[in-house]
Amino acid sequence: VRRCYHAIVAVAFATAACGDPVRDAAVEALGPEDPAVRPGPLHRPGQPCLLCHVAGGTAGERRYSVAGTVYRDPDSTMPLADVEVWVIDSRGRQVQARSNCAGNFYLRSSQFLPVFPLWVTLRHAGQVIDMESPMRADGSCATCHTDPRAPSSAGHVYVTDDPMSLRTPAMPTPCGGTP
Amino acid sequence: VRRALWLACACLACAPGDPTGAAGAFDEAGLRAPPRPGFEPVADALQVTCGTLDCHGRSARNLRLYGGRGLRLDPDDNSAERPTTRAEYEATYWSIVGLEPEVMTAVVGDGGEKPERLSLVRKGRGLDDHKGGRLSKPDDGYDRCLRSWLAGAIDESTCRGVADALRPVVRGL
Repeated sequence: VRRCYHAIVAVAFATAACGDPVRDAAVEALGPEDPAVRPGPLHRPGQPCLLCHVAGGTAGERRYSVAGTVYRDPDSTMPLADVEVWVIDSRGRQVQARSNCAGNFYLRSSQFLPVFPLWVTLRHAGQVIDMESPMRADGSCATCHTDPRAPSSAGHVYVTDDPMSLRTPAMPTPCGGTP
Repeated sequence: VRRALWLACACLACAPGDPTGAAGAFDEAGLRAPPRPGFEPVADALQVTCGTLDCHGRSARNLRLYGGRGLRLDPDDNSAERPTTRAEYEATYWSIVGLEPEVMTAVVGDGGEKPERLSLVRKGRGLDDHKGGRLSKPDDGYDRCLRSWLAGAIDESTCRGVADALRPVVRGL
């Protein structure tokens, strides 16, 4: 019985030591998956991807260095597909991702391990928009870009201030289950 | 006791009304600080270098930097609109000055010599562990801007150059 007790205690300590209570709490606060969307490239739009998609995270087997969700304009939560997301790091290396039908995009850590700061530019249907500030430490767009706009948030990521300038129709992008 | 007094000063500075009360309080405590007049370009340089929302533009940080491109002081404000306010410059000033008051007093008393005594400088130079990594090296624009303020003679053009630095151009667009 003692041996069993010691084994249980050891496992409990090992588990506790591997966790990051701050990150765990942040993940918990995101809530459960949307039952209508299976976990994958289309899930959890607008949430901070790198809370889980990092080494030690619950989705650590698919690690991202930069990831987020793109919407149409500041006043719309309509996701926008096929947006080119250009990222350039402090060493001048640049890569491009493309948003899927949920508006989600991601760069795998194996594909691009940037040296901060990073600068981001979006291009879609003739519109080009630069992110005003650099990213200094966190590759999750939604760490700073959450709704509503607030003293510590710039609101969601969007392609244009003028939705009328977009040639794409103002209707939701159909998400048929494949990005 | 001194630290508590400085924190009280910082709170006073954040409160609406005449912020000179804070200055008076730290003078009485025998503490010294770099100049508040003309601090705005220094704050602007710090904002873009350190104060983004994913770094020191977060309320969870003990060094908080406020401004139009980051954390806002007014709960009704947001990070996407309106430039830095006077109250935000004031709050940023006290946030920095109150971080290590005794060390700051020593550095200012020595005319800004050996600024690396301050964590603010050491972390920026990457000499101390810093999540944001190395942001500057001795005598680059950011470093000169900060040192000029600590020495009491703000190099405004250098600070503005840091704040307005052009972003890298994405090739192929």
